[in-house]
Amino acid sequence: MIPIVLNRDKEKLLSLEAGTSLALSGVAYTARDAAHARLASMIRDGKALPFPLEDALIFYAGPAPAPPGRACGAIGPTTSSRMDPFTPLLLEKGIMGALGKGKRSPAVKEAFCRFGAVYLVAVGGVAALLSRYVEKIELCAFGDLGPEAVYRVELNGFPCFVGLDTRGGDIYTMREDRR
Amino acid sequence: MFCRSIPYKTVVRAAEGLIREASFRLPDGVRRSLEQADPGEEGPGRDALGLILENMKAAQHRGIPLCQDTGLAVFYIRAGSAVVIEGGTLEGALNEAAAAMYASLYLRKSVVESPLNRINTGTNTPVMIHYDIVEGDELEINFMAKGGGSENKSRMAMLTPDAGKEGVMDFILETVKKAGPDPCPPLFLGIGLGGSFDKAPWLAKKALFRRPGKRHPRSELAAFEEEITRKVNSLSGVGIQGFGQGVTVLDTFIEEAPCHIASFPVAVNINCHSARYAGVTL
Repeated sequence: MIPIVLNRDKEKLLSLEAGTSLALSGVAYTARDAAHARLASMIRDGKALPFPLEDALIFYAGPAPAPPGRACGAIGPTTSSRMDPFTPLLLEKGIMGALGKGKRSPAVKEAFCRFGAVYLVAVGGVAALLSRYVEKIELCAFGDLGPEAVYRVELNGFPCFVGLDTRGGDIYTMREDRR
Repeated sequence: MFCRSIPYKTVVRAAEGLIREASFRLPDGVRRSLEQADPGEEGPGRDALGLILENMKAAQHRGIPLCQDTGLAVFYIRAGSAVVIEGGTLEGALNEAAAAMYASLYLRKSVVESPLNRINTGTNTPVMIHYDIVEGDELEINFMAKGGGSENKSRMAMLTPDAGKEGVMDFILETVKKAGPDPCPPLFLGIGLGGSFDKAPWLAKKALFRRPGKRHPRSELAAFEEEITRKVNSLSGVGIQGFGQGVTVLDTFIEEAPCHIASFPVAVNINCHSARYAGVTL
């Protein structure tokens, strides 16, 4: 596992091969289907956004509430491809990357390369374990969406993988590509 | 006529117990399937299986649900025709139990009131209920926390009457390949064969309640279950979490029903590795 501190280690992160195992630290913002739709319409309408997209890592996640005495409830990645229609727009607005699970469309893969952004992949269905690596979670925007709201999360050693690398490597096709 | 009455509150408490059990602890058979699963060679797939096994312990020790997608609450009820719920309805009891447990156990509320307006009901209700009315005076309640990712990748088709096992096999393989990493493999496959357009998916869902390793009582279907698991594992290339390494399907369960001479309905209900269900008989 390679320790990565977001923003500080961006160059290093961009140099790693797809499939590399990471321990990720730093701030990310959760956003899934409903939050993406709202962000996209706010951008189109030229409205002020609830958090700066510049250099932000978007975590495709809808966490469960934190029980008393825990910093964070169950948290984990949701299927990234549902966010594909919105991703090029967010990349254009400067996000440094996204954390989710599953394959991306060819157009979105190309957009990640073009904007020098990272796509990271976490394991699905291990939310009790992953919650251990979230030090803090707070509501950031769209509270009415409940689990689909935007939460600001502080990750500390969060286990994930490089999903797409800058040389076109993809964790989901690596094995076929090598054949 | 003889009737057995079960108090409404007894049903609520029983359903609450099932939601608690399923959300934090995998059934023994599911746990064993994962412990014995082929991890594949060194790489992300093997790492992912390691995290999946670690997560089972974390959920129990930390009191945090196994998955953040704590599911749509699906109930499968086998009700003896002599059973009467005293003081309320079965539907009311199951909804009350779900609303109470999804709040008090800090489970995620993942239900919107309409697919068009997308407004979260805030209670994870209404629950989905399927019934079989059988002879007798017992009430069997089965609960499943069914995640959206695996539900999204489930499919049904109306094959032609001569499709045979080959046609079924092709459809299942295509479904698992198309799904790829999205339903969180390694998977359990519930297969519904026959019935009508609506019945096949219901059979597929019901099949997912069967304990891993337990085969269909008819030997032909039992052998077909094993063949499906074997073929999907050798041909799909999906692997653990879609990383192309290790096991793709942990087990396959078929339920079958008679169908129309013109039809061959087939449904594949996918369940993720975190197959969360529990049952009780009152």
